Order: sequence, then structure tokens, then C-alpha cells
Amino acid sequence: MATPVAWRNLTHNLRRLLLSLAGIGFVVLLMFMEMGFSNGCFDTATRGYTLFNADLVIVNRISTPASPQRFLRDRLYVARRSPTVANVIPMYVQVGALWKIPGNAGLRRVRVFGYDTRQRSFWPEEFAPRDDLRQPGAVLFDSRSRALLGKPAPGTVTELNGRTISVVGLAPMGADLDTDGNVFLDQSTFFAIFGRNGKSRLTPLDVDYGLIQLRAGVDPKQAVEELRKLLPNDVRVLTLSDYCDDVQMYWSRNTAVGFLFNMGVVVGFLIGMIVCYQILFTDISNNLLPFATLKAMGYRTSYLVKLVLEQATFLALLGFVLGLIGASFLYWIMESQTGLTMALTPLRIATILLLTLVMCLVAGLMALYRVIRIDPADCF
Amino acid sequence: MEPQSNSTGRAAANGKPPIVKFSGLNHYFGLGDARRQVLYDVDLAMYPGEIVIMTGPSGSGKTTLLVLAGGLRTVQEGSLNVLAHEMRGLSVHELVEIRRSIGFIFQFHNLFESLTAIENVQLALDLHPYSTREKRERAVDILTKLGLEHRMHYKPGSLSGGQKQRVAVARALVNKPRIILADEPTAALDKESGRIVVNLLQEHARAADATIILVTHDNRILDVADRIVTLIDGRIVSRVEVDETNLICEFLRKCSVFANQSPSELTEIAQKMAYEKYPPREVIFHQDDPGDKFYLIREGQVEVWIAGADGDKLIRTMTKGDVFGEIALLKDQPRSATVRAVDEVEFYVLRRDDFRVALERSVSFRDQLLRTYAGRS
Repeated sequence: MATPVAWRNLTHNLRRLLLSLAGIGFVVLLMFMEMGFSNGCFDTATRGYTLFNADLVIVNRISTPASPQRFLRDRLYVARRSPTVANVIPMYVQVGALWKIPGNAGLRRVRVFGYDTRQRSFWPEEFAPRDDLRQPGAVLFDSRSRALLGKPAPGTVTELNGRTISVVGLAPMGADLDTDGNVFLDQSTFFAIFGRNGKSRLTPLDVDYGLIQLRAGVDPKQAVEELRKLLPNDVRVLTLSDYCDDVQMYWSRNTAVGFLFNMGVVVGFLIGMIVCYQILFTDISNNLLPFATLKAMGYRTSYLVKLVLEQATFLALLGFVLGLIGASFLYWIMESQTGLTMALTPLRIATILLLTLVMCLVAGLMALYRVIRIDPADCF
Repeated sequence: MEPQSNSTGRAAANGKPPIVKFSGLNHYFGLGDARRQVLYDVDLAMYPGEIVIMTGPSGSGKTTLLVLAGGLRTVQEGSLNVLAHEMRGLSVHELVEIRRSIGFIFQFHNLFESLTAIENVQLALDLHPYSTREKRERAVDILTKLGLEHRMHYKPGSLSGGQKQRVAVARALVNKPRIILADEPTAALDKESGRIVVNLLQEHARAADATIILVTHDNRILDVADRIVTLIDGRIVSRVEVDETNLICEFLRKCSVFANQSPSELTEIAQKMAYEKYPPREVIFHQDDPGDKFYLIREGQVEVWIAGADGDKLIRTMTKGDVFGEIALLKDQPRSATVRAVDEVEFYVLRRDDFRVALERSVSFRDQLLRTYAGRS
């Protein structure tokens, strides 16, 4: 077994090691947080859709999350003709409906989902299976809305776009960047408020989303292909998860939010690289004579290169573990405080691990010139 | 027949080929206009079991010689043979390979502070395909030999200066190299620690039949040297065979011409004497030849013949320790007799100029002058 020089050099001075790891761990934590914020924003942006029990979704081709466009309900009838499709329903959404805060004269904007509450298979239990939603003015209120919408309980009566409504139940969805909270109601109530008689003048003929459930055993990708052939190209059909990815991509590409957080990750990466370089450089400088002696004794430069990169890898891994522990704790705090989803998925953990490794190895490569330039003849 | 000259009497006598041999070596630093020659036509051979001390003022090129012998710089001009490899023209890769058979000891211990004594030593063993157990045994062995058996698992931070240098020596010796290159190994040590270190080196030179080249200014350790080579401005200005010199001094002291010289003056004369060897029956010089050398017999027998009217007459025979040839030099006369080798004869010879300089510098000579002046006043 070869002498573990890299490890010993790293752990020789415990105080310096802890400082080094604190530095790198902090950078890892920073990258986790930046990535967490960004994912938190984008995750919550699609959280509404992931609640639906739908396989596929139909949207207007030119619709974007920032400027939603409706499409003709007729398209849903076309889709229903496909043998792969079990059921199709329309979903109506109104953003920026005015919510009167209960016990307070103030108004806040909320997002309203209108759908056929009899189609129970499309919703999680909390969202639909109650007959009282069919009564005029009955709504479900998003129990995870932000507190500034008030704290309505079943039985609370208030106003939505000037119409009197009564809260009959609570369903959990959550606030996001777009809205402070959500209201769910039957499509009959939806059009009673936003239809021809209201200010919005919406009609059931113009649909926001078409939700499709496929027959058992049908491959969603294949169904998408078939439906694309069937449907005119003013609409798009995609799987629900593809649609969610689409929306996240849209926000991250088209808003400063994504850029800012990515910038945060990049800045963290650069700081980490400098920190790691500094640590490695100091260590090499402290060991110039022993390193030169190794070269004189007959060690090749490649051995010293290996030592430095090994040390960089140790730093990366230890720093990463420290950062991950810190991040898990902070994610937990953030989630419980803001209601944003901050999920540490394996992919995200792997991404940060990779970033950390690259960060330290690049720093190692930068510090290498010092090792390569060591001339053993200078020992004399 | 010309006499054979050889500057390394004792080592050459044991018949082994040199381990390190510089021939006609020149070395330069810098390029273009800044190019500066640091070694001039160096001829030097170092033999197995020999400790050579290199000395000279800083900048004289002794360290450059060490660096070249260690394969840490490429040879530019001339020839350098190390462990039967011609070093000139070797690639960096090949030089690294040769370095693995050389032990290096530096002025500073150059140990990794993060590694224990035994781990620092094992670093040298990692270069060779030993098993883990073998490495451990060898490292324990050498450290025990150096009196560090109770300090093996200490890091350099908890060792004294002498102990650290001993660990560094252990690291250099553990592979039993045939060459040890040491640069001021005792400079940072007190007298006692320095003595321990040089004794270890001496023991290694004998045990492993290794050549040890020591660059040092430390007068306290000169006694371990078999040979002392002095460089000034890139040239070898003196090579002292320590044993030979002592031998010559012993002989010279018994010689009336030099009877009043101080030991240091005798040493100086001895260092100027060259070694010459003549086969049996060879004439060293003829009667009436001009006198140009002073002879001291190292080994063998010579006959002194004087030519007379009734043919040549044997005056006397001379043997080991006897001197001859001084009269012609003192009186500036031709040779008064013919001298011939009986068997194979080895001499130390002193050229006329050196002989005269030696006499003029003589304490007795100056004393006589002083006495003369004092008597006048």
C-alpha cells in the first residue's frame, strides 16, 4: 500500500482542515440554496398541474405560462374519438380574480380553477368529491394560500369578483410566484361569476386546458403521437410531466428569476474554486521542499499531480457532505416557513456533487503549475 | 616509457571501476549573452566505498557537480558516467529512473510534517515493488539502526533537529543505494548529531560499497573523507587523498629537508605530490640529466648507479619511505647519479617549482632570516 500522502497532508492540521471544509461546505450550501430557491419557484409554478390525475394535457399552441391562451372546446371532442382516450374534460382557469379578504374590506388577487366536479376521477379526494360544490356560489379554498388572504373556514361567506360565495371546504395547493392562493369551484359557478353576465365574459366554449385520461395499458408517448395526428395544429398535446417541464423551462428561460439563481450558483462555484485553489496552493507552498525531494528521489511529476488532484477530491467530498447536511437543515426551515417546495431530489444532489467536484478539480489544475515548476535541483 | 600517472592511488588500487566519473565536463548557466561557464574541464572519478568531500567557496560549482551527478540537470559538454550509465543525452524520463538508485540528503530534512518518521521513510520504498510487509520491515530496520526505534511513529514536529536529519538519512539509505549525495547534511546540526550522521554515512559506504559525495563547509566532519576535492571558480584546484596525504606526511617528516616544516605545511606539500608508477628495470633518470623532480618512494626498491672510469658502480639501494633527487633541485645541478627501478616502484613526486616554493615557505628558512636580521641590530 502506498503511503497516503494526500490524505495526511489534508488532515495534518485539524484547525486548518476545519476552516477549509467550512469554506467549501459553505459554498456547497450556497449552491444548494440558490438551486433550491430556483427549483422552489419552478416546482411551485407547476404544482397545480401535478395535482391532476391526468395522463395528457391539451393546450393552445401559442399559450405561454405568462400569457395563457384558450382554445376551442371542440378540440376535446376530437380527442375523445381516439381509441386510446378514456376520458377528456375541460379545465377553466381565471388568474387575478378579486378575492375579498374575509373580515376585512381589502381585495387580493387569487387564481380560480373551474371544472366539472362530478368528474371525480380527475382530482385528489380533497378537491372534488362533494356534492355541495354543485350549489351556486360554493367554493373550495386553498388551505395553503398565503395568510394575507385571511383564514376562511368552511362556512365563511365572502366575495369573488363581486359575487357572493361561500367556502364549503379546504383543499391544499399552495402559493407560488404568480399568485397568493387558489380557489376551486364547479364550472357552473365559474361561469356564473366569469361568464357572460360578469366582467370577464368567458364562455364554456373556450377552454384553458384539456385533461385526458388514457385507457389502461396505453403508452402515453404513443397516445401523444396519435392525438397529434388527429388534432389540428392550433393546439399541442403532451404528457403532463412534459408540460410541467415545459412550464419550468419557460420560467427559467424567460424570467430573471432563473437567471438570477443560476448566476448565484455560478458565483458560488467561482468563489468555491478560489477558496479551494487557495487551500491547495497554500498546502503546496508549505511543502515545496518535501515535494522537490520526492522529485529528486525519483517520483515523476505525474505522481505529484495525482497527489494534488487527490487532495482536491477529498476536499470536494468532505466539503460536499458538510454542505449537504447544512442544506437539508435549511431546506427544512425554508419549506416550513414559506410554503415553497424545496425538494432535495437525487438528481439535484448529484448535480451539486458534480459541480463541487469540478470546482475543486479545476482549482487543483490551477494549482498544479506550482507543482510542475518545482525543480528538485533547487533543494541544494 | 612514460610513467603512469594516477591521482587516486588507494581507490584505484583496489581495482573496482568508478561509480561516478566526470570526464572533460563543462557546464554553463544561462543562455545567449547571459551564458556563463560554471564548470571547467572537470575530471573526477569516485570509487565504491569512498567518501569524497567537496569543498570550496560558494559559487565554486561544487553544488552543480552534485546536481549533475544526481541526474537533476542534464549534462551539456563532456561525459558523466553514473552507475555505468552515460548521463549525457539521457531523457528526463531516464534520469528519473537513475535517480531512484541514488540517495539524496539535503541541508534541511525536507520531511513531510504530516507523515510520521516511518511513513516518511516508506515514501522512498514506495518507488520500488516491495510488499507492504517488506516495506515496513525495511523501514523499521533502518530506523532502529539509526537509534530511532522509539520515535518511528512521531511526526517531524515532535522530533529534535538531529532526529529529523536522521530520519532524512534513513530515507536516503533505506533502499541501500550505491550513491549518496549529501549537501551540507550537518550544517543544521550540533556537533554530536552531526557526528552521528556522518558515522552512519561512513558505515553505509563500507557496508554497501557505496560512494558518498558530501558537499560541506563543516570542518568537524572532514576526517571521514577518503578524499577532499576543492573547487574554485568551476575548476578542481586540489584533490587530497586523505590517507595518501597522511602517508606522505609521515615519510616527509622523516626527511631531513622537510624536518622543520609544520604539519600544515607538510600537508600542503603532500597535496602537491603526484603519483607515478614505474615497471621493473625502468630508469627513473640518468646521471647528468637536468633535475626537475623530487622523488619519494611509496612502494618498491630502486638502485643508484654512478658512472665512473671503471664502469657503472652501484652506490646504494633505496626503498619505501626514502627520498632522492633533492640535491639537483637544491643546487640547480644535473643529476649526480642514475636511478633505476628494481621491481615495480611507486613514487610520489614533487615538481621543482613546488619543491622550491615549499622550501622558501619553510618556517626554518624564515626563522634563519629573522635570526640573521636580529643579530645585526
